[in-house]
Amino acid sequence: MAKNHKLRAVIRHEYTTIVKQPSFWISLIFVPLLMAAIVLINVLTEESKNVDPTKEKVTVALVDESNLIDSNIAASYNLQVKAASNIPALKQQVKNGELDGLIIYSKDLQQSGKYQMYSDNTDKDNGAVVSQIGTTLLQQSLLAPLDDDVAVLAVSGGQGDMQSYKNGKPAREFNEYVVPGAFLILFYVVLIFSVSYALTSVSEEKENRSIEMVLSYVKPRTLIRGKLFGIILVTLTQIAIIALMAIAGLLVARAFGNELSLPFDFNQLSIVPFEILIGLGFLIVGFIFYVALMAMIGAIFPSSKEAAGFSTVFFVLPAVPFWGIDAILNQPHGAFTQILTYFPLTSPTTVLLRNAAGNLTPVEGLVSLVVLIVATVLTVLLTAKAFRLGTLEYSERIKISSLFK
Amino acid sequence: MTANTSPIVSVSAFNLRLGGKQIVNDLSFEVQPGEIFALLGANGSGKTSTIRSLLDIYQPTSGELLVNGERYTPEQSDLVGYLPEERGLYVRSTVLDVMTYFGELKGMSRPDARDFSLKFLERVGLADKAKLKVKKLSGGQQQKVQLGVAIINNPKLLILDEPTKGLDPMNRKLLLEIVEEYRQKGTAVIYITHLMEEVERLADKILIIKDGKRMAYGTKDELKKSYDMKSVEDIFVSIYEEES
Repeated sequence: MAKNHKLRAVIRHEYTTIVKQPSFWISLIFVPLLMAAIVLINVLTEESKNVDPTKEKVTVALVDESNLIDSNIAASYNLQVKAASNIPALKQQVKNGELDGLIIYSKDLQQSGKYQMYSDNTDKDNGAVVSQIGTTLLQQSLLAPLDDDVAVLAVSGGQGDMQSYKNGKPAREFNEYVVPGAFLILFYVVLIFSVSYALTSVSEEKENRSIEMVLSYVKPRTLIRGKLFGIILVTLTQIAIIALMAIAGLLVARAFGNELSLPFDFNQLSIVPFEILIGLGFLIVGFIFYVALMAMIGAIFPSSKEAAGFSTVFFVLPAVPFWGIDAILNQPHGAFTQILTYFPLTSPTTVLLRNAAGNLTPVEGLVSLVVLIVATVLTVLLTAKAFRLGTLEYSERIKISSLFK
Repeated sequence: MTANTSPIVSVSAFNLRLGGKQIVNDLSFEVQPGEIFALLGANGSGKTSTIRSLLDIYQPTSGELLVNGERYTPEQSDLVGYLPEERGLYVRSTVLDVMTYFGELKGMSRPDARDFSLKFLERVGLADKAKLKVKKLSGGQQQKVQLGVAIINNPKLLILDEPTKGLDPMNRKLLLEIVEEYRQKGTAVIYITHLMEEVERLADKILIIKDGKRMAYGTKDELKKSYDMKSVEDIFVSIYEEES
């Protein structure tokens, strides 16, 4: 009988079981949509805050004792320019709601840098508009005497070209982080979203008592490989759908006149073969390692609830490098960084982080990858044994020591 | 029955130790094609462990366990149908998908497995449930699907561990009819049960084990004659009462 026939059957079963669940689609589509909606609401809220004060229909009085305000600019805001002697009456008018706001630039503005503003918020919040008029009017008035180009430069602050050094060598620029950093992000996304499917799949097989029938027809290793490939296909499906959603979002944004502004230029991306090799190696082997580990935990514990509880620690450990990121970036040869670099449960995130930061030596990267490969092979073998022994115990967890006998 | 043919199952000098405990002790027996072989024993006597060892789920400590003349591996799953005592199905999948999946695991093509599944579901009155998720079925209905999974590949060897446990009389009758039918087709059936009326009705040969040891082995008539008793139940009780 063709071994691949069974393997294909397991892969298809794993894949279809996951993608046919409503929860898969809810998490895949609605979670990113929800996040996009939150971002959109934030953007729109921010945009609504950036009001153009010249277009706001508010009644604001201006008292300029500083003589710094340009009367032509003040006129463009439709401000009612008043004398200082009227200040008490103007304040009362704001209190009564007869004026939406009042701006007073006092005599000592140049020395103190302070001015006063009042607003009536009875029917609507006029405070933000009055505040923006006060700030913009002052800035524009002060810049007005300058040449146009000088004024633009003064407002924009110019574009500084920074060359940074670290330990006497040029420090990494943003475009050098992008490619190796993408592997780190991808690994973490896969770890969070996909690896747990292995745990659920095995736990459920044990919990619903189908594992004994399955193992009488399929070798444990074939079953594990089938689950692994099935979950890889699920992960690729997730990535493809998220990418399609992102492209659709981009096209919609463009249709509404918004261009995507990325903080880097694709043409300037730094492509270093060693960094890509390490990135791919740890992404693939790390993924297999964690899937096998989760499958083993699923086989060891009698219920999915207990397995899920125990597995938490294995999701926490890969996050440790992020908590110690300062040490990893600044002390690459320190004991903390070195331990995390070679310990299989932390090495994928640590090495991928160091790969992005550019402080990983080729020897460190390759030795750590070899250690991870060995750990993965051992984990797969132990998982196969846990599958066999797991059929023994439906009510208690199997002893870890029994895996090594 | 067919005593002159090669046995489909041959177990000799089989020992199994698990967790430092002797589970099965020097057990030997044979099962012939077309034979219903009742494997009897009290709870914890080693019946399920023997079956698991036969099916390569447990590794025997010593001895020889052969199916169709060789050590069973899952690669020969087209020979075997197994309904374990601890059984269940993928509750989140549809009935048809589950049956088809197990058919494929036993080496059938996907269309053949689907075809068999639909015919079986029709026969046991579950045709309208084919597209339902397993969790929507009652316990009895799920048990019928489990039987379908066990026989989906027309196995040469059918191992049924307490197959009628929890079934109502109608479904029990249906299941026994199907077992009888497979025997007629030449399938060997290892039948584990605590219901002696089923043993009296179905069994050609009987093996009674106690603490993993063979206590009685032979046809119904041979055992009744040697124990000078009228029923298998009496023999079973006498064996278990002997030392206690």
